[in-house]
Amino acid sequence: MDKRPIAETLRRAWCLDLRSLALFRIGLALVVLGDLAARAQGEDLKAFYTDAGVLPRNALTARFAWPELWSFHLVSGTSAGQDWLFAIAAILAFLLLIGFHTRAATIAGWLMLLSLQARDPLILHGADVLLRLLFFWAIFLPLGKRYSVDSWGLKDDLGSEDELTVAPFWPSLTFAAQIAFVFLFTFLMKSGPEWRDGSAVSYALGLEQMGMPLGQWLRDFPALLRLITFGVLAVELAVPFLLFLPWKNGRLRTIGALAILAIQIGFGFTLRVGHFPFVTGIAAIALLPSSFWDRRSAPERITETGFPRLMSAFVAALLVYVLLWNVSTLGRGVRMPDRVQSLGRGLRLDQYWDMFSPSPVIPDGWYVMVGTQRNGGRVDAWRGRPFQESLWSYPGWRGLHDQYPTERWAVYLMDFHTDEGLGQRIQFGEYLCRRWNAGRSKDDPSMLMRIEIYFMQRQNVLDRRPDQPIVKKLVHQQQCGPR
Amino acid sequence: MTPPGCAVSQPEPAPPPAAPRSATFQFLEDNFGLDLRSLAFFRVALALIVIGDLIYRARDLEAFYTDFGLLPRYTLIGQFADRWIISVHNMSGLWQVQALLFLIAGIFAVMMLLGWRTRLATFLCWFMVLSLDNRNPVILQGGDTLFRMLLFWAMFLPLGAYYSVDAALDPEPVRPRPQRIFSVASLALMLQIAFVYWFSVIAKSGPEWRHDGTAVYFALSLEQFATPFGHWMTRFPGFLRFLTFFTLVVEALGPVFLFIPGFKGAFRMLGVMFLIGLQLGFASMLWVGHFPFIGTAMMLAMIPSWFWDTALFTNTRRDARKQARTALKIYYDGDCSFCKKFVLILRELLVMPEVAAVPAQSVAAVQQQMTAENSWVVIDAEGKSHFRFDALSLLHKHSPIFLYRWRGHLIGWLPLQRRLDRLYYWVERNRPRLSRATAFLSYRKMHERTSALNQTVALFFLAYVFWWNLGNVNEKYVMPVEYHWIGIATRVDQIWDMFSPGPLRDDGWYVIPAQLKNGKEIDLWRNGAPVSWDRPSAAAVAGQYRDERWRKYMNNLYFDIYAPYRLHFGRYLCRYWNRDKSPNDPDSVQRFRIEFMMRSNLGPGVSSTPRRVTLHEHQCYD
Repeated sequence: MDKRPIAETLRRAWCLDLRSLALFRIGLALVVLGDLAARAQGEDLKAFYTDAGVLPRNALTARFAWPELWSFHLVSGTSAGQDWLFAIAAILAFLLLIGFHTRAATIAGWLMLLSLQARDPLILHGADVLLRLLFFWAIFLPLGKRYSVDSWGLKDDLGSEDELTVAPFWPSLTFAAQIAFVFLFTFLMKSGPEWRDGSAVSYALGLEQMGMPLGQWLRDFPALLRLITFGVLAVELAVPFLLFLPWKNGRLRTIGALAILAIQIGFGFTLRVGHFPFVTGIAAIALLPSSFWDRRSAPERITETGFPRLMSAFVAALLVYVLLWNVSTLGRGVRMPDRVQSLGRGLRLDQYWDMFSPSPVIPDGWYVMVGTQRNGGRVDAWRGRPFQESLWSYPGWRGLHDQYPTERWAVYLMDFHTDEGLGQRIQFGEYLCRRWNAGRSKDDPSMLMRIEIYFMQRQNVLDRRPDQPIVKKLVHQQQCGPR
Repeated sequence: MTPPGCAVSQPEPAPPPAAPRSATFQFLEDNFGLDLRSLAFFRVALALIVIGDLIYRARDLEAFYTDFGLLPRYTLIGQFADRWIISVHNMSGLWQVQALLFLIAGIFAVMMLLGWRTRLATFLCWFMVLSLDNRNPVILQGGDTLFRMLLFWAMFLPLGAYYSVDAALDPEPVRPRPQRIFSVASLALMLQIAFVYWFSVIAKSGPEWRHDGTAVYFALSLEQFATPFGHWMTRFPGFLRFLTFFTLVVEALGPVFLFIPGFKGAFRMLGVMFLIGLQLGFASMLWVGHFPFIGTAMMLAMIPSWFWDTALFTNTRRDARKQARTALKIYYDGDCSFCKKFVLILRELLVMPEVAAVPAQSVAAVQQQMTAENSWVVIDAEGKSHFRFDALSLLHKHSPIFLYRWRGHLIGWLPLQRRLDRLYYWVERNRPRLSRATAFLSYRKMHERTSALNQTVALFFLAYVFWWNLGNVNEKYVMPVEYHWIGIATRVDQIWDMFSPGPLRDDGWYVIPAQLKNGKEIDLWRNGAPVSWDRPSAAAVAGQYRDERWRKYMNNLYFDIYAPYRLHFGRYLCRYWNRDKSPNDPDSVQRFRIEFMMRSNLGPGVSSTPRRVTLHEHQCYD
């Protein structure tokens, strides 16, 4: 059987299965819908995407945007305008879900996702980067050949027993390579001493803002955490090989995909990583080989769905581009010229897999936001409640976790107290003032006049005692403006 | 079984008696409705204006629509724009993305021009124009407001009923074709035109218009705006006094003529001619940008049926040409979807519905010719067959439209025709591919009736627009602020205040003296020439602006309410002049002043000396 030429062997090993891709399509649509719903919950839509929020369009375009940033969401600064755009994105995701005009829906959905992400770059994390990349590579894949309206009534071209239709080669390879890059480059970036001495996972779990019950419970077993540290490294290194070794008729790839799923489920239960496990999970589904679905012997012939040769060359070129981009993020001498980077920043192929790397030691703590009213009274400006002295004392990991109402707020405020958050502070302060003062008349004694934002930083993230040393840091103070 | 779309292939029968309708409605439609052929020409004119405006604006892409330019997005959004303003052009600050948006708008305009998915195309054109206008409101003039309104009302009207791809590809067209449309929107378009002139008459309340009759004199003696002809006309103040009152009369009565019923619409035609004449008059004497084109385009929609039915065909040659068309027959390959669509669209766009178009397969002899010549076949009145580009030329020569006949003679020129036939052979070989490529041109039923939703929305906006205009001229009727967002979001807000209450009295020219790092002084406004304070000639004052958009921008900058924009203009000048220069470059601009050499216009025979008005002082940082 292995007497076939190399190209045929690689095709068999790497071309993606149409059923896996169809499930991936459904998963992708559900993740996008979930993401939209999560972003729109509560006050978040107003807070993050309108001119009344923490990042008005003028602040974004003046201070946070890189030149290539583009976003349809800048079309309007009102909640009504954003509602429309969210609704359009949701409709497109629904079309993707049912596989109606799949390719057009994929392209349009991808554009809407890029646009949404560009509207507020301050609340993005790794999952968003991976999501937009999967979406982009999915444009080139036949997502709608199974389980879709598009394929409805079409004759099943699975063919006879000994023939199998699969996705075209280059898009398949590129898609899998993108996922391999995530694991490979995050492995290569984990150069801090904590990853060498095995304490990394302890530090990561010590970041109580991102705590989850299982993860916090695991902190009692340092020896196990050492083991997990090395286990994570091993899996991250192994995944690229499992995905691409062309032997064993897909069994290695199945193991690779399941390993990805397992490690992501592990992350999902121990750390607050938002929709990362879901995004990686659907990627793993797409990688499941044909042999996973039918336990029959290898088909005699495989045929690829149609794909123009010119597009293959284009996708291959982009693969090289993304590989170079990732290599350049390692900072080992390879640098891309600015011109060339423009393409990546315009299509949002830019990526940087630095989760918990080089070192997992991230400052942890909680915010206290004191608002002073016209009549001298104090309020908890963050939660919009009367101030309580107990806010100053360590509330346990649960309290740290609960200080953020949603994942997006966690991302927004995580770096707020560091130098990286410098540019955000005035707009955030204005947002707090505006939110409290909305509907209050000018000389209302309860008007908020000034706010002070403190970060209560834990000195040692491994310390779990209630009386552990805390440093009180004044991050920002400002007067509330006329509006 | 008849293949779909066969009905269109037959020539149009002579109109049978019209279906019975309510007499009142019939009266209203006949006298106040709009002719659908006029609306088709209106569509073409609107689309051409969109394309022309895009090309015109594209020359200043970087200055007006990017973050490098004089109104970066952060200032527009943060300082100037109302929160309800909508603009897709805010999506990026790069000229490349703006160019892409221009291109997309251009594609929409071509859709509208050809009348393919006309209503959608009109909506998209309107949206892109609104978006572009909102990206930079400082360079807009009254014509842009009017143009947005024309596109807005056009969305509610059947602009694609004639001479369009939509009409060509209607699988079961209504025969005879309806001639006129009477709906809320058709009335609204007429009233909109009336509003422009009537409310502008009301706004012209100054003594220059109402009493002294000096308004036209003052307008023409503004050297910034006057054309050479207009400037020359200032020698005849007596005649200009007459023109002043004549303008008011035409503006007040011209629209009234549009509404005079009876006489086959002769009065309406008179109104059309008066108001087009007024626009031409403006255009000959004043630099008013694309306003005359817009003002003419809207009058095209008002042309009564009588003009097309009778006035145009009294000429015997025209009658003969029409007769000749009925004798023509087009035969296409019935097995080729692309061929059929091409023929149907061609027939429609050449305005020759009398010509029959049938599959060649229906006549054995013609089919033989088709196979032998590998070509479509057009048979003329003498029964002679024509092929390839010869056939195309023949059809063009029979078109009622002069331009197409001229093109027919051009492609009929033998040396050219032989070359073009090579193109034909290429098309012939690629027919299956072209059929696939044109699959998106589907046969769609045209909806002739105006929906209730259409009528309701149009009625709402008609009332809204009337209220808005009323508020402009009478404080008693000002619309409450909480309703303004509708008008601002859709940009149906409007004010017709050209040259009102009286014409501007301040004229002059700009000088922007700048100090370079090496101490040299240059004039940024004159491309780095040495600074001169001498008064330029009248032509040079008019010619100081690169184009109409710059003229409007610089005129606005002079007014106090636009003072906050001067800082951003200054920053743009620094960026522009110091681009690609290192901070220590001796030629880099250090600081400059924006000076307006203002000359008050005191009236005939009185000359005033220019006064230097410093609008802005600016210091460039790196």
